[in-house]
Amino acid sequence: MMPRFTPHPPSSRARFALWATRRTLRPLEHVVPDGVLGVKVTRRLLAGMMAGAGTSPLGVEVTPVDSTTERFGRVKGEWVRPTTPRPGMVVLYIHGSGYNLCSTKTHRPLVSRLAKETRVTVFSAEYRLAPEHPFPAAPDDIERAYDWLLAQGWTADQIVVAGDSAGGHLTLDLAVRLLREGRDLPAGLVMFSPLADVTCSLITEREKALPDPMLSAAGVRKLFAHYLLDTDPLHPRLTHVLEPGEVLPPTLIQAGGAEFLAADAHHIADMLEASGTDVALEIWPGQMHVFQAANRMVPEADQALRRAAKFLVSALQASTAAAEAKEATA
Amino acid sequence: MTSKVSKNARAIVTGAASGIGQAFAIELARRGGQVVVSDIDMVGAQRTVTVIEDNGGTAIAVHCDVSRLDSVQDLAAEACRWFEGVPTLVINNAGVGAGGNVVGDAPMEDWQWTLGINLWGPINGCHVFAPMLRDAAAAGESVGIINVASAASFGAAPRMAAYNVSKAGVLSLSETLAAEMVGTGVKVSVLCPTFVKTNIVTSGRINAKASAAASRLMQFGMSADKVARICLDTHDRGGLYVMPQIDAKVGWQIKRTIPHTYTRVVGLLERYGPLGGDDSLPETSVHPHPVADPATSDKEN
Repeated sequence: MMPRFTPHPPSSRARFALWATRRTLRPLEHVVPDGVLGVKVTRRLLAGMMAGAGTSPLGVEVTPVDSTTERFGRVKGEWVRPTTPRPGMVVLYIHGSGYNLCSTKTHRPLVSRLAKETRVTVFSAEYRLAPEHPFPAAPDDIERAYDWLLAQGWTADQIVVAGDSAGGHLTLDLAVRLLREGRDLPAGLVMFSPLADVTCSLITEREKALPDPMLSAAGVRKLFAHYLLDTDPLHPRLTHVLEPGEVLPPTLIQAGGAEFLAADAHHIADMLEASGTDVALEIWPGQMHVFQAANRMVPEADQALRRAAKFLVSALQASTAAAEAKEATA
Repeated sequence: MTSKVSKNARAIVTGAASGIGQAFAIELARRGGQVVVSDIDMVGAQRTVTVIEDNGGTAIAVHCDVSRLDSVQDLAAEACRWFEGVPTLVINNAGVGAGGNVVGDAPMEDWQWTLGINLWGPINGCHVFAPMLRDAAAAGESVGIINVASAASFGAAPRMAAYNVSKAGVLSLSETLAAEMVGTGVKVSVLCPTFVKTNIVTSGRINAKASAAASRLMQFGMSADKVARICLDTHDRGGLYVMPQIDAKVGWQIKRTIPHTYTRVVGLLERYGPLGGDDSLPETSVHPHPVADPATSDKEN
């Protein structure tokens, strides 16, 4: 299956990117105002940055979706299709947001590269964000998008759910929810720099040891405050605690060694492993948050994405093969 | 010429679960070293190791209570096993904060606790590791030892006598060791920072009021990783005294030039300055003891 992950020192371009980010981006946090205005400014800023950091590949077709049905309500997102997609396979991609920022548009280059690398069609889901729409708008929208995918004719074993940052948190939430409702689970999960702890205590501890080059724990806490409002951060859909034996689908987690969510990635990996899930954790030395998106800046972006693609395709192949075998014996 | 001590070191850092020690451990790993992360807080030590491993470095967490010689000897044995050799850099960093009370009011347990960790820690460390380092230097390796003292080692700020005494001891220990190591190739440095953004105030034995005042000052402090970087660079250059901040340097010069005036001003500043004026002066103390009337006691300070 997957070749073993051996961490190697960051490339010189990655080291430069880290140095430059620490000196340019981090100080901006002091300039951006608090509150809703700050979120709006940051949305603009981040969209520009992400457009600069990543490139969009050729030969990927993007079709917007905005469907309102009585059964599912409103489902928004976009189909991202490679030229010759593998049949009977689909990825539900949940973009990162800090629950306030970004959109399918900002993540289109990353999702397109994933689609091209895997040759699997991706549905990149849009979900409502704070401060306009606090918890539980986001996980509700994602669950609706998943159900909508099933209604399009896909079966759970043909789907891999993938997400980055808060999208990783939503990926975990969706999987745990399906598991607890006794429903069929997707073929696999992929999380880039996933968030686990909305109380930010893991982020705070990590910051003391190694401050993130982009943002501070205090900044993250402000963003989450818009999303949480008065909800207890220990709400079971915000802080996920798996019991032993609650086995999730095979999972790949990637995170950067230099980023604020590295401890969160460890936390999810440890929890999934303890529950009996087949989980692989890759912490890439010296890399930043969702470095997979920054293929224009760091060579590791493509290397990591390629590994994720390999994992994703083999998880889908294994699960469809298992489903066929089951059908044959039935 | 031999290579830099801080590069590719086989390093032992005590008190590396948090603060300056954690920063030393991470920086040494970044510079290619194998790092023994020692602390009594194994959860924190493991967290430091995880951060190092996440970034491609090599580290191991080892439990050590630096106030006990046998514990430090165990640390040395464990480290040598893991290194498959002797250490090349030892950083006696573990330390605690204690203060808030004047001499006579500070509980004796606080004195013992503070001196046990802050003074006996480095003494034990030097006792155990100095012979190893001397041998390693004789074998041609670049080796060194860094003791973490404080600007308090010469600052003599009121209400933190135990801390000041412990750190003054570390300064003297380091100076003596440096003299003894002249010509052996073992570099000795002593770090004397003022305020650094760490948890020493909140995790130590400091009363609530003094702790609040100190926390206010800490936020203007230098970051621990910058202190660690400066210290390692100075150590590589062979510097004995490492004062990463300007206030430490200025304080050091004033103390040496006009020691008597310095002490009087520090005492008065503490009493009438922005952070002073408080509720636990000797005359309102719970432990009554003979003092001259306040007017003359002011003068004596």
